[in-house]
Amino acid sequence: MDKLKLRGISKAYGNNLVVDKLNLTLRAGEFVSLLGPSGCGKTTTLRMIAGFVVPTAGTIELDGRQLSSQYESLPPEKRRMSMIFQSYALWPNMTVEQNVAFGLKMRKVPKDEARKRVAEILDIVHLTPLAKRYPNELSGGQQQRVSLARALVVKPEVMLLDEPLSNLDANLREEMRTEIRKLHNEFGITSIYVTHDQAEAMTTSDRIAIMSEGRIEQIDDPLTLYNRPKTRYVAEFIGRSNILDGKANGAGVSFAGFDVPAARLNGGRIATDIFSLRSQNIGLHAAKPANGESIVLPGSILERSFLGETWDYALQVGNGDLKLRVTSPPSNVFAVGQNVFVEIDPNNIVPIQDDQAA
Amino acid sequence: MAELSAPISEETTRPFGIAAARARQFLTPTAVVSLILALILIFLVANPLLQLVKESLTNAKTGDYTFANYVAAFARPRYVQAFINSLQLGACVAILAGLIGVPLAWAVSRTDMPCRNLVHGMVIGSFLIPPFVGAIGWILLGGPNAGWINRIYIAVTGASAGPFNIFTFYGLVLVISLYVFPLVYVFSKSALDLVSTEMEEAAAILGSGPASTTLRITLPLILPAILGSLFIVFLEVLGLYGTAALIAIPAGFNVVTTQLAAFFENPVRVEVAAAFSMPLILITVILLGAQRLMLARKGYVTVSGKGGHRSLMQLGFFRWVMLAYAVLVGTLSVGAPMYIILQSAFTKAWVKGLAADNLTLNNFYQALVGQPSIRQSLVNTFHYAFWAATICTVLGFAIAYISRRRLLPFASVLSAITLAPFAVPGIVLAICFYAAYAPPPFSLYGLGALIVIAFVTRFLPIAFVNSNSAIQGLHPELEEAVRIAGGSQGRAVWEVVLPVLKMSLLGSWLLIFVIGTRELSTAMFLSGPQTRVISVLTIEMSEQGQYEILSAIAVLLLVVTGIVVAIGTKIVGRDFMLRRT
Repeated sequence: MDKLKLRGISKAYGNNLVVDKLNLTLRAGEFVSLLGPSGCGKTTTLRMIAGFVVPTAGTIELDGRQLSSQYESLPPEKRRMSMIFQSYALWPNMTVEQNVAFGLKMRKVPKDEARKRVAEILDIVHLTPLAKRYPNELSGGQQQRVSLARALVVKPEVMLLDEPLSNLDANLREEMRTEIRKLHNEFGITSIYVTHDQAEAMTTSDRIAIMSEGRIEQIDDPLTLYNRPKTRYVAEFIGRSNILDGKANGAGVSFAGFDVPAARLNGGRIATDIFSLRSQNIGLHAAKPANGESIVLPGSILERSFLGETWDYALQVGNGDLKLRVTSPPSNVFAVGQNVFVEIDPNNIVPIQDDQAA
Repeated sequence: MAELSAPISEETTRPFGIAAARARQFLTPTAVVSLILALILIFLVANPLLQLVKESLTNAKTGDYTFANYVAAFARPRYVQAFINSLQLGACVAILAGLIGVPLAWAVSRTDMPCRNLVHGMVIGSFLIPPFVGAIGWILLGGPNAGWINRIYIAVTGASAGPFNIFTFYGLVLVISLYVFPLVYVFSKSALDLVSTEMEEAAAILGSGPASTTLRITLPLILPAILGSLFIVFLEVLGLYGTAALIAIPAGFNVVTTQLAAFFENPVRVEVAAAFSMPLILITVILLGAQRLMLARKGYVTVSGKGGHRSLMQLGFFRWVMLAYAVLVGTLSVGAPMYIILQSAFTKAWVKGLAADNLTLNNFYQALVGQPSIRQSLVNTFHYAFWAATICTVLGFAIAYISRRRLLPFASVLSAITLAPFAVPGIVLAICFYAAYAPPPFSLYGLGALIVIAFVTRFLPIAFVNSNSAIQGLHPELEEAVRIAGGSQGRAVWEVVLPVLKMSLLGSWLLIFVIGTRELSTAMFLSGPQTRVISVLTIEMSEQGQYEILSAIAVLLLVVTGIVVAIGTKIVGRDFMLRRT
């Protein structure tokens, strides 16, 4: 069932188009991330859903009822949503308990029930002993939990998360993102999560929308997004990719130094002439491997850097028309200048579009 | 979900939708509040200023437009001389205040001078003394014959007459400087506090000694702040009435403010006063603009971010020299004048000193009980200051909130109007209000309300600036969190913004209350017989030579000020009095 629907939503400040005819539909209980670099319009999109920003075109609907259009925008306090802010936005003049109870008070929940629900949610986020504290007496992680509890306790129609982990240090961030996913599994609240951190989006989301310049480039589940990027932008934004130029002819595609028959390529219909090849999906060998299904080409190492968990190699293939970046495990050591063999599974060569999807 | 509106079908209802949405947009509670605020600001600021300009261009008898008032105001050499005197006075005071304020600020902020906190307290003390009280103290100290300095000199040397006369141009320069130098001190010190020690250390590592580092690195860095503060001092002097009236008039020369006051003596010539005050506003606007430009040069003063360590400059023996200088300044501005006032307050005749048969409490009795007019003006003073502080704080907060949160498209206009009184000297503001609201249809002359609204206008910029910086420190997400939780904008203000900012707002209230109790120039032309305030009374009583009762009144005023400031320091924090600019 469709819960939240954004139809052709746009926001312009003067001549500056921040969000550009964006379409997005969330099913009930779905967790979707808006992922992109700063300035891509993801936060503006979120704030339009929250009702803080009025769109200049398009509509936003919740359960089939219109919330926002350029003519009318239901104020945030009437949308029955909740939001986790980047700064947590805990009210410093209220205790943890009062912070969490505030939304219930606004929704006129009877006092007894409110007390019960606050106690329950504080227990779930392990904050019961700190209920009487003020926010400035809590650590960053604890504040984040209060903020989660405050958002969840009202059982919102939609929960909005605006880069909620960006103020935490790395360890805590990993812990909290699993916590967020766990809470989502438990409560099943339709959620939109804005972030610029791939790992956060990957671990928490059912689907990820990659945004660029106010538009969604691609929206898919994390695995598809990684294995089957549709555009050059997505291929380069998620993970590391080699972008290959190829010429399609009747029989297949010819790249610099090798050809791939049409039947071997993934996706079948080849409408473009650029392709993505993940740097992790390229094998490197000192001796020529047995020539199975894969394409094997000779090459030599140009540069290398050791990143701790992986090697990052730059190499040239064949006569030098083709340069590739390859990510290899730490045990796979080659010297600069060494001759190697490159192994490519054609199935990993993904056709992509050069321009943004309209 | 019942309150969710039904979807609007674009094709059929769009025109109606637009009209309805527009109407709703303009009739929100925010818009109504804002409209009311705009009307209040027109009443408080825009109209009085316009009336001043109009008055200066109007023939008082016929009501025709004329330039004759300007001719009347500037044709006589005597009047022009008053302007020249004011400019000279301003320049001399700026120099002397700089010589007092900058070294003290440097010594307290950057060096190992002993008793730095005490010296800081002394400067704040001289800030808290109303200028006219300081001037009374100095009349008792430095009068040509009866003044204590001359009497001691005669007693010690056996000379027939003392050398010192406060009733001179340079006497006036000294007395004013002793009570405005804290402005220079405060600006310089806050700039010095921001200069990173690392910059000085960088100079030291390259071979620069302490003196050379101070002169070549530290002082140039804070130069814009110092110059800015000197401009402010200059403007303060230009608009200062009390000290000038107490000293310049007996000394036999006029400055702009005393000349303006003269235009208000019978026959009252408001239109000439209005014309005469125009150059004053012009100079103020130009200097404030110049100060803005200087301070706007970003990156000049570098904030050292995370504080880091600050090492103090070791002065060696010289630190005692600095301390001696600070003690001298403290004696001249606080110690000696306050001692003399305290002594006079408890004596029958101030010239006789603390002889046993000269002691009395009658002065306090007279001030509080014996003379109803004095008691009345004491009550008036605190009454008006209370209401001015309250109205200012509420208005200042409301305007600052609306403009900070951009709740209105023309919010920046609101804040600009709110800040406009900064550029109008108090005495000119008094003329504005006299011109705008003394005559019918308002006929407010002689009512306390006229003084209160004039005070509100005068202090509104302070309240606004204070609220503005407090709101600036408040993350907007705190309010958005209220909205998304189901509370309205008003609810967010009531449940979060006000509780969080209550200390700041209280500090702003106390500050305005304190400066409201001593405001003289704005009250000057607006006080009727029933609405006199202490500051105005002081000038009158000084003319009559009633220094003993006057001293008792000054002591009362200082005690109340002291109590209010102590409360403020206790609950709001040290230095809340300094948040004027």
